[in-house]
Amino acid sequence: MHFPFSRFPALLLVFVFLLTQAIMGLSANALADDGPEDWYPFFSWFLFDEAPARLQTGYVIRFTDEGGVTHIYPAPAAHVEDFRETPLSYHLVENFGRAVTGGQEEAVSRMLPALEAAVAPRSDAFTLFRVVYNPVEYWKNGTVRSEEEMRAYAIRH
Amino acid sequence: MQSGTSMEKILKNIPGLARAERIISERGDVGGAKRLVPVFYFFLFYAAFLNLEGLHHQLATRNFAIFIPRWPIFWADWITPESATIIIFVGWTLSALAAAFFYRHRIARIAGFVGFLQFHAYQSSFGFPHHQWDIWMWVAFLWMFLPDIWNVAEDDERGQQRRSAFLSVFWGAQAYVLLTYSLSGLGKLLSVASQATAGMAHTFSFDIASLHISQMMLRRQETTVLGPLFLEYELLGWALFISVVYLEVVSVIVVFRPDTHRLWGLFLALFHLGTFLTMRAVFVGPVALLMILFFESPFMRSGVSLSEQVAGIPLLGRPFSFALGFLKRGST
Repeated sequence: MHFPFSRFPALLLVFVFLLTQAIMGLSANALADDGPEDWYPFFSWFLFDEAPARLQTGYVIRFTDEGGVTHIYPAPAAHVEDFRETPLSYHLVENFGRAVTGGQEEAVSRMLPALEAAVAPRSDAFTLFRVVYNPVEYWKNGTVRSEEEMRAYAIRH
Repeated sequence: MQSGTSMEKILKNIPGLARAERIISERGDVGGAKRLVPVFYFFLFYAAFLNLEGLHHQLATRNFAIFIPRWPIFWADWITPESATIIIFVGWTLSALAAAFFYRHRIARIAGFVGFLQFHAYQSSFGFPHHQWDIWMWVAFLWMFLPDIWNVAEDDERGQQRRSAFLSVFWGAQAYVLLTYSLSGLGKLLSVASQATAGMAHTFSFDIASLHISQMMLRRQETTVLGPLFLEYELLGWALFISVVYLEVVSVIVVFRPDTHRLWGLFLALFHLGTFLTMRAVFVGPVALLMILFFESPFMRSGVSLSEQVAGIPLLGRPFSFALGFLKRGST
């Protein structure tokens, strides 16, 4: 099989390919608010295109272990190693917090056992907070600009 | 090529295409391109086998509750996700092996692409797209169109046309890869207006690198090798981020400057290494492809000097080349 025969049809093929990639990628991105993030398998390649906000709203959990030490998760830099083996993850806490805020009780019920199982080896209770933070400050020192207690959970053993 | 005459005229009027045609006909080393194509398929098989080796881990840890098959693996809805996983991983490995062994035959390259697309679609079927292998997948798509020229005699006139077509498709893969970097850079520039007018941090803010790095470390819950350094010295991070934006935006220009291909491949590989060391953004696949396509680019003259390579750097080539010459003169 020898298609595309010569360099001109081959270059035309290349040109159409490149144009399609650019048009599909850019239009998918432009319409991202109304539809899918991408038109699979096309992609805009707008990776890290927006700067993260200096003040972000997110969720953290706090709990006190048997030794009386209070932990916060997601952990700031100095305490990341304390959670090296934990099944906890940033996205689990974030998605859980959003579900609680949005009143999505089914999603809350689905995620709660995973959170309880992750905290249970260290504590029998935890509290969910909605926080406003600067990511640099939070990562360096664990400080938040403001916080609001959402819900406290007792872990059933 | 009588019927192609009018088409040639049309094509030559498309911006960039006449220049591409000149590069391909004057610079293209078809022998070099032919040697690089199998390297692509050898690595594809290596990647497939490596993933197959992790199949048990995949089955044990994947959250199949969120598995929604993308259209290329529509058939996965008919069986269990676990069965689909096994079929896709084994199928990709076998098709990649066929493409690696029979890379001279289009039918094998088509099989290689189809198997790869299945795996790519699978990876992107868990709630969000997975971009690690995007450019590999699209290059595999484009290289289905490489004419089968390995057995064409050197003095065959039609063979000459096919060799030109072969180089054109190879060049297309290089252009596509560099285009993705330019699109990425364009995205960073386009967001500036809206973010700056809203009083938010933006691409040119001095804390741009700190914000990206701290956000990634927070989300991954991991301290990266160089992340803390850039949080400590914010301006250093800013300078590197701006350099990256430049590197990305102008990338597509470099495909028209073949003597700079090798150097640019190195810059982009270093960029990926940098994002790994600062943000743990893993792009191993793209780096391997950059090496295959650009480190021994078949459009680069042999024996081209470093200052000639530097001269092709968009916008900054002349001052860099002058500085390099100045340093050379100073040292002699």
